Amino acid sequence: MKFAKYVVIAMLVSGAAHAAGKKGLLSELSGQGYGSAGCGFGSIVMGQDGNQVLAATTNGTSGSQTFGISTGTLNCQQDAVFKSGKEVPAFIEVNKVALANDAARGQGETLAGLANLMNCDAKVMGSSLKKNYNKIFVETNMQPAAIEANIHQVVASNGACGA
Amino acid sequence: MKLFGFSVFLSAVFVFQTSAQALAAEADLNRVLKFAEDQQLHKDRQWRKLLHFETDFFRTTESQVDSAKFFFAPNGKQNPQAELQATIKAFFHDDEIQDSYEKAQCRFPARYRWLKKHLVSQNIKWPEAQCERYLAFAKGLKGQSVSLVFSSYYLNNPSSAFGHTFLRVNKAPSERDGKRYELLDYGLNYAAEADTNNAFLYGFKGLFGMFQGKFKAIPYYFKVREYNNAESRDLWEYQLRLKPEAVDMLVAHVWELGPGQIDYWYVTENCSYHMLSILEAADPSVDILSKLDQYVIPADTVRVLWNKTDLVESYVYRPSIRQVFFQREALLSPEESKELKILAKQIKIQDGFTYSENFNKMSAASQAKILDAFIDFIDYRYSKEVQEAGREFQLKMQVLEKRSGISEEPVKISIDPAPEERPHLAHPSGRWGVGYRHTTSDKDLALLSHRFALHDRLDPAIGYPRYSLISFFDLDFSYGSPFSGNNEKELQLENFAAFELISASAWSTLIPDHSWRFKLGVERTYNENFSPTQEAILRMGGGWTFLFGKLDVSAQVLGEAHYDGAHSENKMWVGAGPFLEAHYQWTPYLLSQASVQYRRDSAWDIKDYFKSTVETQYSFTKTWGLRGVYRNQRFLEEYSIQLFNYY
Repeated sequence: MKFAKYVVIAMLVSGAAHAAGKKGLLSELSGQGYGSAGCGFGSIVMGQDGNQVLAATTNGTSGSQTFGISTGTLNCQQDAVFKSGKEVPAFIEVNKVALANDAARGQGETLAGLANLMNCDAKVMGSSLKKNYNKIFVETNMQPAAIEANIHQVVASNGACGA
Repeated sequence: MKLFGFSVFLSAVFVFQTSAQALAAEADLNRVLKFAEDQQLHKDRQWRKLLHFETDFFRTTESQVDSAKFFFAPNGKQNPQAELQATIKAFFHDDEIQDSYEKAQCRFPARYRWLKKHLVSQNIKWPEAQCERYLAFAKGLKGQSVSLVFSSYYLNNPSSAFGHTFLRVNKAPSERDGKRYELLDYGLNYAAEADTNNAFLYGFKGLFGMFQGKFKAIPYYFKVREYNNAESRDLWEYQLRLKPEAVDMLVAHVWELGPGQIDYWYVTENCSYHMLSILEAADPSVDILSKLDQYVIPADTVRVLWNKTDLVESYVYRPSIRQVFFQREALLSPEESKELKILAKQIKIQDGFTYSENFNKMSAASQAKILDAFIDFIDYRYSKEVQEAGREFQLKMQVLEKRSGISEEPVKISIDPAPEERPHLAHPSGRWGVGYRHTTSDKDLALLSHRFALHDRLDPAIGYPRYSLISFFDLDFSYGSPFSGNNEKELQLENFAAFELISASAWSTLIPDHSWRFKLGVERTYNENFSPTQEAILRMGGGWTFLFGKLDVSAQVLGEAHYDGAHSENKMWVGAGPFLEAHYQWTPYLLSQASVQYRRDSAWDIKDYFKSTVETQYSFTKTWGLRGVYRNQRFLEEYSIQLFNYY
């Protein structure tokens, strides 16, 4: 009986520790400047919680609530699909590393995808992001919302976008 | 007064009309029910597939979906006929439900489409409901075709072992320029909702169906960043021949499953299985699950899809950041390569870059090539730091800034993997073996082996990474007279690997990867201290592997722990020592391996143990191979030959 009690207590302690660890991760993610403005996807890191095994086998992504089909309305999605006007911020948030690469090179698949979302000409947009690389990616300290604002500003001034 | 009489008359007409409508609807409902009964529609294959009505391992036939909300009939999980009747009734009573999302037609658009298709000839007036949320979902996915995506494994990311499969719903080309933007497609993913970080608990719960699986629609760019970039895994996209109508059906069916829960079984009803099960539900002409074994391994899925169905239209390879970097590195001249190494060294030891005089004298094209390779190098080598905006990421921003000042376009990277690297051409994952062993203590034994999955380093080197071994549930038995006493023949377990992994990624100055091995299982131990006995064993090793073309050489330190409760003393003992192994690929069908090992043990009288092994396998085809092994443990030599069949 005594032993059983110990087991129960041990389990409770480890469960609480586990939950605390999880919470730590979430706050860590949300603490990266993904405020209410962004979609709060966090970063995609090999192995959530630094636990490679789990992440690799579950093929999971960060944020377990997102992308559920028929989960109703979340910050940026309704039933897993982006609400209109949210595609661009979500895209920038998740792809900012690849986007910075493409911008520095002046072209690439990620940049072309964003241009299409924003209804812009990929070629013109590529050269203007390259020219304004510093303004968009360095001065913003890679904050998604600021990147987005600066991209809009840059492409608005050169008429690369619109029908 | 007149007005009053008129309105009475109007409302009377209105009442009469609604009741007439209700009667007509009731008549239609009864006709549909009767037709379904007369035609035995509940026996239709697609209906059963839409319900995920299958016979499982325990010979129980019922729906695999565990949510009560997935069924209208109380016994719907077990009875497709009752479920069909209840579904039809629910479709006709949707007008009683206020919230359109909760209407039967809106919750089960695939069932509804299926039913209408079967009653096209009957002139039924269907009570069409407006389903805003479902329509928004279908419109967001904008499906035109479907690809099955396979993410391979990169073993320094160990448990990506079996790969993963999901579907991608391909959008119609952009109205703006007629081009396809794959990153903007949605992926349909089925995965376990894991609630544990403990690898062993995870494996256990996964194997015994204790996790719930969920379907999700995830933007494809999310998947690309996760696999290609964060985890350095290649993606293989197989475009399927699916009619637009089947694509709509697939989207409708995934919507039905969205809120549902299905038990996730790691080796049987897993991601691969359910990708195929929803394809079968969407298109009655698709028949693939019956061609697979009881267990479904993602790598097998693409092989069967490729070989045994005509579903695959074409495939596209999407290289991981690791492969892209190797490609960019290969484009460099020796002089450019030297500059890349200088930069790679600088990022380790200083907080900034000083470009050499040599670099500054180079052409813009050379500088761009070097920087492009370096950018991908940082993304691969420091992927975690880059994602988490750590030190290397800050440094990378300086490199990008430098790159943005060079107008030169990047070199387009296109990689077409050789046939032996294509997963759909791989050998089947299961393996039977029969053979013969002779030992110098004059024993002749018959050998019998079976491996559940997946690949070792002498199997035909096709479709799996050449630097890896992944063994899962590998059993080896011998049959013959034992070493001591009488000459009765007996069956002995020689080896059982619950799980064995070898990752022999090559070391290089730029990518100083370690190689390692791990085994958990039972081995029959032969040594000079006691007669052969089965012991539980855990073996781990680490070191380096060096690659010289077709030859790779591994130098590692191995440590192992043995446990056997039958020993009177030393039930548990450990040993450790150096290990050297050379692995040579003559052709993908002819491979050899030689190793030497010295071990110092913690217990017993004779504490020094030596072992050397030479093995060669020649495979006639992808399904038949012959393996010869010579093993020397000083006190005992053995020769064996085994015939393997891969299935």
